[in-house]
Amino acid sequence: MTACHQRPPGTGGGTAADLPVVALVGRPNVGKSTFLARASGRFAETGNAPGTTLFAERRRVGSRNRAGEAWLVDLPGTTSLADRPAGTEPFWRLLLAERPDAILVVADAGDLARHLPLILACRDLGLPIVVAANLADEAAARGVELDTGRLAQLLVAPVQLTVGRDGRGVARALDEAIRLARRRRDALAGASPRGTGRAAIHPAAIELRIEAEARSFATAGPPIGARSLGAAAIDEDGLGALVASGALSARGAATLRLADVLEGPRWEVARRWADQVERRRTDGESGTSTKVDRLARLSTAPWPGLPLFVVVALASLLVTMLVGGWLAAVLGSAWTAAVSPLLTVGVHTLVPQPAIASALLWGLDGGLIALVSVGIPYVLTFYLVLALLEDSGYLTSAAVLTDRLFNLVGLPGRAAIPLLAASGCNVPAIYGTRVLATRRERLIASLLVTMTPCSARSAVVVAALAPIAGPGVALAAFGVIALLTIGGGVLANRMIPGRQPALVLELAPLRRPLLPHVVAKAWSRFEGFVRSAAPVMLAGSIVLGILYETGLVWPVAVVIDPLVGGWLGLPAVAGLALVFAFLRKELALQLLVALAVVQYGAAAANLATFMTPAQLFVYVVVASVSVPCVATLATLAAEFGWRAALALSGTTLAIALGAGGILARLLGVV
Amino acid sequence: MPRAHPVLTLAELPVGSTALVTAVGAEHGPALAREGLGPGATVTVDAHAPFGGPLLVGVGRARLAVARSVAATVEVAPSAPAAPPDRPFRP
Repeated sequence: MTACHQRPPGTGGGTAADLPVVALVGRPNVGKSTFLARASGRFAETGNAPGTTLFAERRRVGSRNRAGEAWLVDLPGTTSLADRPAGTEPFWRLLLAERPDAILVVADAGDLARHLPLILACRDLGLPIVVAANLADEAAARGVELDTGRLAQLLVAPVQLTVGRDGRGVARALDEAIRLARRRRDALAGASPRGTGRAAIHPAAIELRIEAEARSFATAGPPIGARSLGAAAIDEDGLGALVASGALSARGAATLRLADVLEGPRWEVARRWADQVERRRTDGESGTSTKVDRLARLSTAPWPGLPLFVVVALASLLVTMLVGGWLAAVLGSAWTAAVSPLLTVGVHTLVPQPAIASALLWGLDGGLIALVSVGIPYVLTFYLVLALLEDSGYLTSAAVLTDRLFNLVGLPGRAAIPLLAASGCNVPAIYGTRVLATRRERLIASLLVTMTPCSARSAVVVAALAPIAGPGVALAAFGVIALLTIGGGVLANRMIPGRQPALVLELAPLRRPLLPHVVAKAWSRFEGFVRSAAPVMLAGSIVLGILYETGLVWPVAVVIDPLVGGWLGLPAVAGLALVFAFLRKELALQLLVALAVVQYGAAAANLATFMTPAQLFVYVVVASVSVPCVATLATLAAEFGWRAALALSGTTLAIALGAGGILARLLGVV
Repeated sequence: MPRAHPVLTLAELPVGSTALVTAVGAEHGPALAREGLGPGATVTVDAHAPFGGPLLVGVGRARLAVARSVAATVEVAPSAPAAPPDRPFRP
C-alpha cells in the first residue's frame, strides 16, 4: 500500500499538504470509478466487476465555486468498513491511513436499503459525510424516486442525486464534500472539540454497548503522536492510537470494534429508512430494466448460460487470435522492411566489433520485434476484449458458471479471467490474479498461469509439430499440456496450506459498456505490461545474444547432458535450446534450429534431420511447461517475492521434466 | 432450543421460491450480513448454477452467488411468493 506515502509531508507552509482530504467510499459496482473520472476529469480504471480498484489513489481536484481545492482519494469498493477488499488489511485501515477530513459515500439511488448500512458505518466514524445517490438515471428508469430531503434529515448529512456516466450532480456533491472537509480542517486547526452530534439510531441495548466500548478508548493509554500510525500495533487493532491521534472519535473506534455486532442492526435501520424515503412507481415504465434483469438471469442459468459462455470464451479467443495475428503480420513486416535495416546499419556503424554488434542486434532488433509483433498485437487486443467483457458485467456471470469447475483446483470461478489472459501473455495474467481474494488462491492461479501456453509458446508447439507430424499431433501436445496444468493445480491445492474461502459474491448488473472507459482501461493495463515486461525481454535478448555470439552456450551442454540425453532422450542442442529459451520463450524453436545448424551443418535447418517426431513432441511439452520466461519470473517475484517465484518456477520445471521423461518412455524415445 | 420440525435452509429451497431469513450460522454470518443476507432479509432463489455450483439468490435489487455449503448455514422460513415491487415479471 503506497498510497499513504504519496501525500507530501506536512510542512506547514506548503499548499498541497494543507488541502483537505475527501475519501470516496462505496460498494463494488456502484459506479464509483466512473464518478471519480467525472469528478477529476480523467478516466480512472473502471470496471463493472467487483474490485478493479485495488489500491487507494489520490487526485487533486478543484471545485467550480468557492469550495476550493482538495485531495480526492479513491479507495477499493467495499461491502463494509470491516471487509478486506485488498486482501490483508481491513478497509477502515486503508481509509483512515489517508486521514480523510470528509467521506463522500457513493450509493445506488435505486437500491438504498443495500447501500445505507455502509453509509451508516461511515457516519458512525464521526467524520463529516456526504451521500452521492448515484445511478439516479437507472433508478428513475426503474420507477424509483428518492426523497433526498428526508434522507438528508435522517442522516443529518447532505444527499445529492448523481449520474456518474454523464456527470449530473457530481460537481455539486463534490463541492459539498470539499466544503465540509475544509470546515473540519479549520475547526481542527483551532483545536475545537470534536463531536458527532447525531441522534442514536440503534436499540438501547446496542447503544449502551457502543458507549461502554467508547469509554474504554477514552481512558486508554498515553496519547501517541499524530503521525505515528505505524505505532498503532501497540493496541492490537490500532484503534486506540487512532483515537489518541485525533483521526477517529472514541465512538467511531467503538463502532469499528463492534462492526460484526452492528452489521445486522444497521441493515434493520436501512430497511426502515429506505421504506420512508423511496417511492416506487408501478406503471409499465420499467420495461427496459426488466429486460436487462432477465438477460442477467439467463446468462447465469445452465441453459442458455453455459452454451453462451462457451461461445463468448471462444469468440474472445478467436477475436484475439485473428485481430492479433493480423496486427502481428502488419507490424512485423513493417518492422522488418523499415526499421531492421536501419538498426543493422546503425549498430554496425557505431560498433566496429562484429561480435558485439551482433549481440546488440539480438537485443535491439530481435527483442523489439518480439515486442512489436507479439506484445502489442496479442496483448493489447486481449486487453480490449477483457475490458469490454468486464465493463458489460458479463465476467461475474461467467465466474458463477465456472465456479464449481475451478473449485477442483482450489480456485473460485473468477480465476477464469487471469487464465484466459494467460493464453495471450503470462505477465499481465499474473497481475490479473489480483482479482482473487487470498495469497493462496493467487499462488495456485499463478502456477496455472505459468503452465498455460502463451501466444509465443503456442506458436512454438504448432510450428514444431504441425509440419512434421500433422496438426492432430500438435493438438495432442496441447492436450497433454492442459492435463499437466490441471494436475499442477490439483497438486498445488494440496500442497499450499489453507483452504478456499466459501463463495458469497454479488453479481455485477449487466450494463452497456462505455467505449472511452474500455479503451482507457485496456490502454492503462497495456502501459503496465510494456513498463514491466519490455525491459526484461530486451535485457534477456541481449544476454542471449552475448552467450550465443561468444560461444559460451556450448559448455552448458556437457553439464546438462545426463538429464537431457539420459532422461529425456533428446540431443544436446535441444537441451541447450530448452535452457536458453528461458530468455526468449518464443525463440525456443528458432534457437533449436540455429544451434543445430552450428553443430550438424546446414542440413539441420530441417528439424526432421536430427529429431524424430516423438523427440519433438517431448521437446515442445517440456519447453512449454517448464520454467516461465524471464519476464514472467520477474513479474512473479515482484508480486509474491523471490522465494515464491522460484518455488513456482521450480514446480513447473519438476512437472515438465517428470512428464518429459515419462513421455519419452511411452513414445519409445528412450 | 428443541425444534418440532427440521429446520429449512436456503440450500433446500426450490428454484423460484421466496423465503424469510430467520438465522445464519456463526461461521459465514458476517460475510453474509455484509451482502444483506442476515435475519429479517427476504430472499428469492433464482437458479442453481451447473455442476453443483453456487445458488443464485435475489436480495432486494441485488443478485448474489452463494456457495451451497454456505447456503446450508442459512435458516429460512418460507413466505408467500409475493413478488417484490421491482420484479413485476416474476409470477
